[in-house]
Amino acid sequence: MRLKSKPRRLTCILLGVAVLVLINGVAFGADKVKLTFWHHEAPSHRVMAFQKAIDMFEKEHPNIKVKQEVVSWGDAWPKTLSAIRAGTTPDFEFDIPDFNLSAYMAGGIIPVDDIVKEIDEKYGYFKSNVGMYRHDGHYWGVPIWTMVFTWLYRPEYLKEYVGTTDPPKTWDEVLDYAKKLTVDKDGDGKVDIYGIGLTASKSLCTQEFIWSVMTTYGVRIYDENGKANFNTPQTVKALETYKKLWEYAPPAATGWIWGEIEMNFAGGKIAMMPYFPALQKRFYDAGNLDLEGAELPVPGGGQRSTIIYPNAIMIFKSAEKRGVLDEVKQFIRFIMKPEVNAILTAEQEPGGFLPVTEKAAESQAYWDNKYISAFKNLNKVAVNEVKNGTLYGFTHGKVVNKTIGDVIGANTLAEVVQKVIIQDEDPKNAAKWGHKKIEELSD
Amino acid sequence: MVTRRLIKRLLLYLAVLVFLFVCLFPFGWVLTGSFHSLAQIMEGQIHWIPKDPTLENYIPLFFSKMGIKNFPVYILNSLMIGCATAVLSSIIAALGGYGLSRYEFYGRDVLSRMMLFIYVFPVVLLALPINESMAKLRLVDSRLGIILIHTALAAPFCTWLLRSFFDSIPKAIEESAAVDGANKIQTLIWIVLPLAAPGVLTAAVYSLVSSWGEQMFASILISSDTMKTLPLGIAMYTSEQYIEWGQLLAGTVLTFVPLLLIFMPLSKHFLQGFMEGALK
Repeated sequence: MRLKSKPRRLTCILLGVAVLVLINGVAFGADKVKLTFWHHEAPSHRVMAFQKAIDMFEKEHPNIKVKQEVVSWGDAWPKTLSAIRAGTTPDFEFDIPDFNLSAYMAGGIIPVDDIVKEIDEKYGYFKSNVGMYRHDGHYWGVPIWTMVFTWLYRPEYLKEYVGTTDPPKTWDEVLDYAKKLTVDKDGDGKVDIYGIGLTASKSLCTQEFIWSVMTTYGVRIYDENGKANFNTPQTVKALETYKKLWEYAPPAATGWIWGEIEMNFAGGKIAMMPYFPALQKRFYDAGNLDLEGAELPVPGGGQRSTIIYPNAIMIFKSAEKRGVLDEVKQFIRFIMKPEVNAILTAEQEPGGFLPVTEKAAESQAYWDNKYISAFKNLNKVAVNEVKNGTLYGFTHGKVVNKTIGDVIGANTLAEVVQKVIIQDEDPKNAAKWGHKKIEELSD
Repeated sequence: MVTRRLIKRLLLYLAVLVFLFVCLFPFGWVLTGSFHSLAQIMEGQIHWIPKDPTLENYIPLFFSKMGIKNFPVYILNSLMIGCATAVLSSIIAALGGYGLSRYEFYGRDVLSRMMLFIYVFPVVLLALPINESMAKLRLVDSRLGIILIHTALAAPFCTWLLRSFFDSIPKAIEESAAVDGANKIQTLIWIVLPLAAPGVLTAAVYSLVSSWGEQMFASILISSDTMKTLPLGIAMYTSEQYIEWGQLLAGTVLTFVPLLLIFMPLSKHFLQGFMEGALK
């Protein structure tokens, strides 16, 4: 009898617990709206910054639960496009302009004109960053933060080997500096410091580097009508400059991407390079403040410019279908408040992620951050450069050719660089080859 | 004559050593690198024997939950998925291999060859249809979905492997079992499978290893951080503009160590199984 009553009692307790859990769920959880979003910022401190913003939002909106899921950049395209097809997208996702175009062309996202307009009126978007998400009469992405290339250098190296701490202002000056900064310190016949950090790998990284030179020469991949416009004297000049600079770059850099470049710059093997100011965190954490930044050099008579990557939110059709569009917009509104936006910029990746609105760029919360204030001049330059930036294929203030994602995805610019640097081809032939490939991909 | 043989042997040893060096160098470098501090790694000051060995890269993996990263969960997920795949693949392969070996039916040989022919196709072509099928079955972002896919990828090869083993077992043994009153299933379980044990073990280890390192389908199907397997988890320590080198190296070591621990004691049987499977 006792043996029989024990399992029965246990069953009753378990049932009771199950009922309580169920009631609890119905009473307290069922009316909560759940939002899921994907982003691509895997480093721990970035994930934690996202969570901080989410926790603040949930505190202010107790009826909404937000879940972040990290998808690495390498998996972002295939995962998102296959999710669009299978109908398993989250409610929204962070993107960059060409990724946004891919999602648009796959039919997965909805226009976001109203929220872009609202944020622009309230906080004032930097115009250079919004147009990249506009085509077919609508905005398809809400810019949240942006990224920018500045001219990074080690002031102590400049002081010791060039005799000044002033950065170079033209590409000719860069060549002169790079020559002086390529140094064999111990006289063993091996170069210990290279004047400049560049890469020629078949990667997006190389495309960013070459574009930072090309944009100052006024290169435009397409003309205003969306036709290929790559085989121009500007492209040839930019490639010639890159080739000349390469003489003072580490020979092994033909295969480098971001990680190797960062490691060698932080390790003191490189004196200058065009790059994201995000390196400041590594320097600060290592107790090294020998880092400065300036505007990218320009050619004689060239234009001040740089490469920018506005990161935006695209909203999937699934959010509309699930009836959570208002909640998604509430979240976007929340993270665009300058004091909250500072968490996603200064706190998430100081110098790497920059404000995309005027109000956020003026926010005390941004400038009070310990990293930002430690490298104040570098960050002032970076914030200012955001206004001057362009991105390959998005140089006309709007999208003129939707195949730019394919052009970049195929590493076309990187292949052009490889022709010049590795295969030692004439920059004119490389520009011609690149033009033809862009035309083919545009068909 | 003796000198010639000696030279031949020396050359052979040299070739083996070079081959081993090429194969093991990356593992060794990752292993020793993981015991260096981040500053040493960033400055390229990595030595085969670390001057000041540190566990600073390993500790955060286990004891500090950074954001939503949870390395022990990644290991657990990989173990669960890998073991389930191994068990399921072995069962399917045993049944399929036995059927192909013992039953004569139209198209048997074609079917048998198709088992390997499917590996000719690039699996990336399957990504979209599989994702859609899993979405319809509501198995996206679930361990079961990944187990089924990994099983589907491993089972054909295992079936082919086990068929060779079953072919080599004399039918007379089964006939004796039948005389003693055993039915087909009993014969398979109690008579045939024990005789083909090295093959079953090989199939299971092969499935486990292939599941352990599979990244493409896992990355497409898994989104939740609590469901991520080791390859996906490791990828979380890299980013285009920020790589957590120390934890990446330590995580990579911890990815291949459990597999080595499982594989090493079984390696002799595994290789024997492969050789026998190929020869029979």
